[in-house]
Amino acid sequence: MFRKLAVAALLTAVFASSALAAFPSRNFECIAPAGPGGGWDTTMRMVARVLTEKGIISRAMPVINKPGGGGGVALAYINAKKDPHTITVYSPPLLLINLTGQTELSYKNVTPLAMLINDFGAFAVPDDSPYKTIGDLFDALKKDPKSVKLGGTSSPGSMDHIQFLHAAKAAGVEVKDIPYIAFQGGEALAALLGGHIDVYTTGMAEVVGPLEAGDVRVLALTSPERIKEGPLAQVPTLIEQGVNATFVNWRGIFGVPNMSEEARSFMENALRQMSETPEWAEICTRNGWTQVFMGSSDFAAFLEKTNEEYKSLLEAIGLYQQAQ
Amino acid sequence: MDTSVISNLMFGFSVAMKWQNFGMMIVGSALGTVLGMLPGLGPSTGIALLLPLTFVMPAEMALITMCAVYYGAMFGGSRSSILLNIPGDGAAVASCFDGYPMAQQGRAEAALAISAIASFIGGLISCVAFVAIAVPVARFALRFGPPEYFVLMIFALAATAAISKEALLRGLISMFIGLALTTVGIDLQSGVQRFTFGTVELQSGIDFVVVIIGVYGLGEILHEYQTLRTKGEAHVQKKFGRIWISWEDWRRCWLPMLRQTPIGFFIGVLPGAGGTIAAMMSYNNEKQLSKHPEEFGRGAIEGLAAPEAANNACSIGAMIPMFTLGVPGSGTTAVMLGALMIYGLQPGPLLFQHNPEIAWGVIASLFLANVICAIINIPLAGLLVRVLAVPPRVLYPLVIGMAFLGVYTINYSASEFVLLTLLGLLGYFMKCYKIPTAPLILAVVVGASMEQSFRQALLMSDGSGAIFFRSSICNVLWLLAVLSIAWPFISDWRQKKKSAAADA
Amino acid sequence: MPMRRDATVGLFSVILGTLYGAETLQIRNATIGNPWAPRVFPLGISFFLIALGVATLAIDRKKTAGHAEAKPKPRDPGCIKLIVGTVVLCGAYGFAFEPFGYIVSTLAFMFLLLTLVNEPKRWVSNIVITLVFTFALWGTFVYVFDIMLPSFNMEEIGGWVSWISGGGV
Repeated sequence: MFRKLAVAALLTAVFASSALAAFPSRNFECIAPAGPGGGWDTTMRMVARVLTEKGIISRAMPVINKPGGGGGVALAYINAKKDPHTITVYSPPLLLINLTGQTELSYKNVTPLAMLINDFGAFAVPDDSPYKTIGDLFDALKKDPKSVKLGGTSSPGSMDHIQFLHAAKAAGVEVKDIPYIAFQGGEALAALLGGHIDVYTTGMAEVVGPLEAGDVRVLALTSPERIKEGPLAQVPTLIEQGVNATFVNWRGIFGVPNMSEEARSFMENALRQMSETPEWAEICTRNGWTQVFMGSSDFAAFLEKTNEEYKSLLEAIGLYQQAQ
Repeated sequence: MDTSVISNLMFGFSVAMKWQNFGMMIVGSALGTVLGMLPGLGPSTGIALLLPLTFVMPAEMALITMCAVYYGAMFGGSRSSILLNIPGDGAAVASCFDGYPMAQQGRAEAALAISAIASFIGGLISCVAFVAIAVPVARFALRFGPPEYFVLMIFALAATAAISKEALLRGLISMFIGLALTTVGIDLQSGVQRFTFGTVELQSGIDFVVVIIGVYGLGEILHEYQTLRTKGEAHVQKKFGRIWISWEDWRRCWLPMLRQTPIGFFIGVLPGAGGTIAAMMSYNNEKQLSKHPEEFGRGAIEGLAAPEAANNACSIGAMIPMFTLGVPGSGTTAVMLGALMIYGLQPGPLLFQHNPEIAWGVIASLFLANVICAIINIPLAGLLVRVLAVPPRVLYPLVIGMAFLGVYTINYSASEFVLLTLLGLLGYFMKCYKIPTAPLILAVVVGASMEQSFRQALLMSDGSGAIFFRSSICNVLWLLAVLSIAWPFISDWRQKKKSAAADA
Repeated sequence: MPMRRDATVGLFSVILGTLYGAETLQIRNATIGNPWAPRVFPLGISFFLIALGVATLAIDRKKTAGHAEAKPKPRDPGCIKLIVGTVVLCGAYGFAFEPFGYIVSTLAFMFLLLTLVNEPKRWVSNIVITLVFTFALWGTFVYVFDIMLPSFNMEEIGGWVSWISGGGV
């Protein structure tokens, strides 16, 4: 037993000394908490690309996908990591999967490094839909909450669902009875085009193509102001249509819990430098993302405040659940 | 087909034939074939690995490379099914049924050849169909909503469980075990955890690739251990012939290939159904149409040709929703769609107007990649077939090692290794007790979407079951499901009547 | 005498269906929509597993009155050792893969597996195959496919060691 203890002490010593080395001391591991091709994956890959291409970080930054549980699987993975060379990307589901009881881990189990972009939600109907404005839709819901079939890609209680209920509630609709049908990937858009659902609640990027092709009509965006360019510039915001609600899909970069001050400030600075490059600006325009930058401590405060907001929203809808 | 299609296609060929693009197509086809052969690594892993290419390549070149990898993986997927009875992914499961028995009978050369030929023919016909009828087919496919998908999956499962009449009950038991496996994880409709026993790893459910590799691959090896010491060396093949087929083989296969291609193609166009359903349905269908169904499962060459043609047709069909509607038709095309978005391009019908070099270049590259893959695969098969010369006592450990590495790449986590081992044991016991494994595999592949379709449909109808009979598509599919269970009994009865008449 | 095949399959199906059904009832209520919705599909599966199991048992009773079952395939005497050994090694590989890294764990796993299946007397070829397999796949994955494989992880092993020694104290 003494030998075991000695080995343990030795190993701990080796590990401790390696942690003292300057950061970054080895290659990074960038986690995309979802499958390839989606918003999280794209953001992570773009960030890693600009950081390495511009020489802001000289170590390699390979991206690994850890899909599952609406991001919960990756969250558990990060939480167990102690090495600060692991980073990931998250957005509102980081808070939502905790508040709906899917995982007991929360934003407190990661270190916020920087918020980078904002994205907004969109509500689309088929081109031949009787609903011409968001007001028509909410009126129909007020008369009979079951008359409209709402579909989206995230699980119930996560982003697509919540952004719609948030808007409907602001418009005075009794939201508890609105049925929400969760689809996977592109099936939701196919279901909308086939007339199997009436409204599709999703992100802006997902509706641009079918909107341009004339297959769908976008009733409203959840942004505070109108989008400046592209086909979405003709779509009014909720506020313009008298519904006092916005929903921001913020996206930021996170590190492992209990990062050293040195590692945290290194990453914050690297991300700040990255966000000031013209390459990053171009990527944001191309993907229709609104560029923002919020440093580590502001981001942490933002998360705390936002978590409370989401919590009261979920409580009002009846979806709030303490993790078991 | 009007002339503008032809001239557009010619323009596409001029893009695809640029030497850089053509070179990447060859590299992609070869890489895809290799990826497809390794158990666990399939087309979607391959394309995900290629995503970083989008940083350095122009858009059309990256997409052409991705398509070539996708295509190569579909060609390569059945190699390990035929030679080792270990499907590379779901779509290659049906290729085990007759491909592996053929290899065991010393006809591996013919099996590998017909699989490449059938893939080529299925792919080529589908490419033509893509150009000619993509838009109307895609519009029709939109009529499939959740209730239609649910009944479609019932039909596919019923037909697979009924594949052997003697083992109908066991086939059904196998199917329900498969369905039970798919209920593990976070429920998509309610976010509730089911059967996760408090573990994070099970929250995202059990990946069907793990089940396929476990039940089929590892289970098969454990079962073969029973006779490894006594008969193990008997399976070793020492002499190898040319990779080609005889006229007799060709005579048996041409019609099955032609008639199963449309089935595969249409299943591919449906966004909610994929290659596994296409391959299984075409296999079942061919067995029912065959004059000698008793040979199926014992090395009937058309039992290999049919699913191979269908599954390649399906992979082409899956591109249609992406190009015509901007909706991904499969997991793999979803990744491609993501790649388009990285370039700031909008997938969908307008791609043909805004970026014709991409849309038509990719379509033309499908024709070319199909030819390239066929050319690569025939000589490659001559090389691969030599694994049969490796004695099982060496081959099996190597296959087990590769299977684990393939499973690691699914989530970049070793947490599924234990699961893989347990599923291997399940497969072993199923083989010992003569429970067919095919219904379990298909159930695992379709189970999750089947339950989701069921629940989505009930949400749409506010709980009324009448929605499952709402359209003629539903009713026809119900009829087919009932027929496929009853068919073995009907044909039996007709046989008896015939022989009774002959006796009299 | 070993148990009859049909009876075993039927019994297995009934037991599995029952356990699965019992576990289904433990599923939490859904917070949105019908609280029972997540249970409906699993309950159907459980019902069918039990029903099909009972049907298999019933047919088995009818059959045993008539003809006997076909004899199972003859088995080698040592096969149980091979099967159990492989299963144990596979499980151990799963636990060792991430903490010890790909190279160390795969070298050990392949060598032991080959020793078991290919017999210890061929140890020279076993060592050669193990080395070639491990490094060839490593090269393919890391350099051709650009897939990261886990390397020796001091931190995790340190955690294990202190966990074990902690348990010892």
